[in-house]
Amino acid sequence: MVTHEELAAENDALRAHIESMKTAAEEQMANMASLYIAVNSLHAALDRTSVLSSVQDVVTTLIGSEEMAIFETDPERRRLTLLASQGIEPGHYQEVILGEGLIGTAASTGVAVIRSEGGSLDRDGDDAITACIPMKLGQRVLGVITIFRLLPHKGGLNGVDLDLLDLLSTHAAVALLFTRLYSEMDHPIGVPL
Amino acid sequence: MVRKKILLADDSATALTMERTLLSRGDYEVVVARDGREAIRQAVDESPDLIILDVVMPNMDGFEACRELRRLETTRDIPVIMVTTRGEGHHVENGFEVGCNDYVTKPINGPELLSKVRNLIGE
Repeated sequence: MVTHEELAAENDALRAHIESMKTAAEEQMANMASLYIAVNSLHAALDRTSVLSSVQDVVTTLIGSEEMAIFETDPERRRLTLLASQGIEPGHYQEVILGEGLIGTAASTGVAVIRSEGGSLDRDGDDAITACIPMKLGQRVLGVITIFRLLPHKGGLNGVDLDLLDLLSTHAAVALLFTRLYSEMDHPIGVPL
Repeated sequence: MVRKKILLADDSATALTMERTLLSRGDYEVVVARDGREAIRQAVDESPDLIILDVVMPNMDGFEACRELRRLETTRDIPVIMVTTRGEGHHVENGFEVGCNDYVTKPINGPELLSKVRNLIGE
């Protein structure tokens, strides 16, 4: 015979289980939302400045860093040139030689550099880098997104951050290429709103 | 049943979309402002049940906007959650000093934001 107390305890356990399932579902929903929003932000612009600012917004709001730089590859000069930056001294990063340092190596190899624990809070330069994400289309590297220190309360990169970085690698490249092609079109597409 | 109304104030399109998407799971009506001044105007016009206010915004920052909301008779009792990229103690204290009820840090943690919203205005 099950007692009233035992039923009440089982009820409490079930309630706690439902609550934890609800939290897990909300977390999953938030993660999916992050990915969806990042793609949407990147592809919502027709001009390069807006795409660059969307990348910065995604990194600050969804990943958690206010220090970043976005580079474009210049294959003829074998250099990376700085397109946009935030929270760093841009003078130090105007040009990066392909194959040199973490940024140049990410560009020449096409392989992302990721420090899940985050870049050093005390040291500068390559030590401060959390991630170098090559922006790739097929076998071409169009540029590199470099994320320096994470926000102090962030701690490190989690699973959804890694998914976001992976997504940025392709979608930022497509978005930047599209703005370039669009700017070179003789006749604009669509009608203005 | 009348839906609870939430005013989101942030100059980041990504943050606004994220917050709106998260809140769409609950039965909330959402209105949006892109800077501190617009947030105050919307708070007066729309009388929301809750305001989610970013700290760094053009024209008027979130601290100043919160102070103004607490000064105005029509908005002084509306609960405010501040959103900040700075989680350090003194930044959070600043928020409470100007009258916010709670705060969340960027990057926005969905379950945390939803739980704070529910605590202040219910489901």
